[in-house]
Amino acid sequence: MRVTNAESRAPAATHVFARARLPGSPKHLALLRIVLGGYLISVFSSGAIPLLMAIPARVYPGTRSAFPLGFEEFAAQHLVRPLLTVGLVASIMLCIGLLTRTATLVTLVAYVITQNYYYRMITAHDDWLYFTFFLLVFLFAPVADAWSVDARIRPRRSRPATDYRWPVEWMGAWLALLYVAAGVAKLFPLRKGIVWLNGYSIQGMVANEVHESGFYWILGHSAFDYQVHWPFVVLSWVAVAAELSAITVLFWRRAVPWVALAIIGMHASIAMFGITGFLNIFLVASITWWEPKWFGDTTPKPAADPIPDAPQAPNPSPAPELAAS
Amino acid sequence: MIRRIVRVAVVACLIANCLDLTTSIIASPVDRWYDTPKRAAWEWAIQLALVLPLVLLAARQAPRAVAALRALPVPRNALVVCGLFFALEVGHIALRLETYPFSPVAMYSNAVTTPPPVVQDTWRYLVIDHSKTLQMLSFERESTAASQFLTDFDYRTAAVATQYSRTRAVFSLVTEQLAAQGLPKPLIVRMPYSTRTGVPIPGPMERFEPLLPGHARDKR
Repeated sequence: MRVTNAESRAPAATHVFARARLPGSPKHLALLRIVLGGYLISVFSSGAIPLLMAIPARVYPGTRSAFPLGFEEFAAQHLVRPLLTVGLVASIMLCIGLLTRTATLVTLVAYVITQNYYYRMITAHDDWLYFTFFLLVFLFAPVADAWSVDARIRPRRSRPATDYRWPVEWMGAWLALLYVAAGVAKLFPLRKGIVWLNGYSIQGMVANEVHESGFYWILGHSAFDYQVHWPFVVLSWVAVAAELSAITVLFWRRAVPWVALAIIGMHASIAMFGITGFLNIFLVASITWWEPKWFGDTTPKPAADPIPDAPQAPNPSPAPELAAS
Repeated sequence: MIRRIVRVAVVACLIANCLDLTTSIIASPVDRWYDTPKRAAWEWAIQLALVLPLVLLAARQAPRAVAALRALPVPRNALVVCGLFFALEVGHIALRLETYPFSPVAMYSNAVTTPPPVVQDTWRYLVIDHSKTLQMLSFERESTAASQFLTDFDYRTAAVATQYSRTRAVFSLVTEQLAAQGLPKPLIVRMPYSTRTGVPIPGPMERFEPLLPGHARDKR
């Protein structure tokens, strides 16, 4: 695997704006499309929303939506159930790359409306927080130029290789933003944040979820005495540090493996303490943090870098996979 | 190098000061367990004064940031739509405001000042398995490959079932899936347990049978 000229000359501390001007790989975007499509298939086929409708759940107090209440009521009665089917079909099409642009738009509309209902009934932010933005970027990105039905049946136009990079960097920046936001929400306002770091919040959560935790399934009891306080102080500080560390991804590419490991460790620990669900979302979303060069991007670059700490300007040469085909 | 580190540290402090102010403007639902102390007038004055250098710095950097944005090889439509969405999310984070589809990601960020009680109650499903042993049902467990009793139960369904565990719909769903495996109807009981170990405390347990839709949404 060869490293591009621009990347080999670029300093390690490349910020996200600079990285967005590097060449990317159509296969990178294609992999993201396939994995996200697969994940959305599981979302649309989940029994969660039909169960909420069967309960029937009511709007959770304190939740707010950008949708007008009248529309939400109409959607709950007439749109959500059919949109689950429509979204399922569209996400399958997105996954295989068939009529991809249309499929992305339909998936986005179905996803936003159905997840609005889900959020309003259970108040938790879930994968919609990650993937609404991803789908929005997909609308403008050439996500079907590789490994798709569209690429098989239609002649593809050649594009600058940077067209495959900026979407990945934007989605990666969004992912980093969410984790930084989680750290910020815990620490700010500072008067509240100092109290949060005392560990009682995590201690209470762990004590509440003890019977749902992996430790309880495996051991038949808690991992340790949950009335002992100091481990939760440590866990609180470590969790905030792991979340805030995501900001380094925006400025320093080499931080990615460490930040990803820290976040995976955090989610795995939380899952073992009884809150499952976010590790799989992160694993899907963190594909945006993978190196495009892992996908064999060997686009030739001009000789000079116009900005000292930034790599190349947009390269008009097509990505090699497309040029070859 | 040292100058750069100092500069980054100063900017980080100024941003932290600004975030401290913006996150205090709107009361968040996560504050309901902890009443954040109010600022004195002199604290407001100092903190607001410290916003000014950040504004000046931002104004100085704005042309460079705009130039960097314009230099991005991004279609204008994408820049406007995705940029606006990104900016709105940043605004919601700064204000700790949750308006779907934007969120400050404030789950589990509530401050608590006391430890959990040594003994507390929980509503649990009890199931008699094939070996006639009483087992505690964990919806989270049923959503993983370690599932014991239920099929087709992903983590989202588990979250809903946990939150609405005492409703007729959840009870019926669990009963149906158990019946498909030849297992009897589950019991829903209020069960005291030790928060030290999670082990249930022996004794009489209050039983609950959901007969009407829309019972309590809280599992405890």
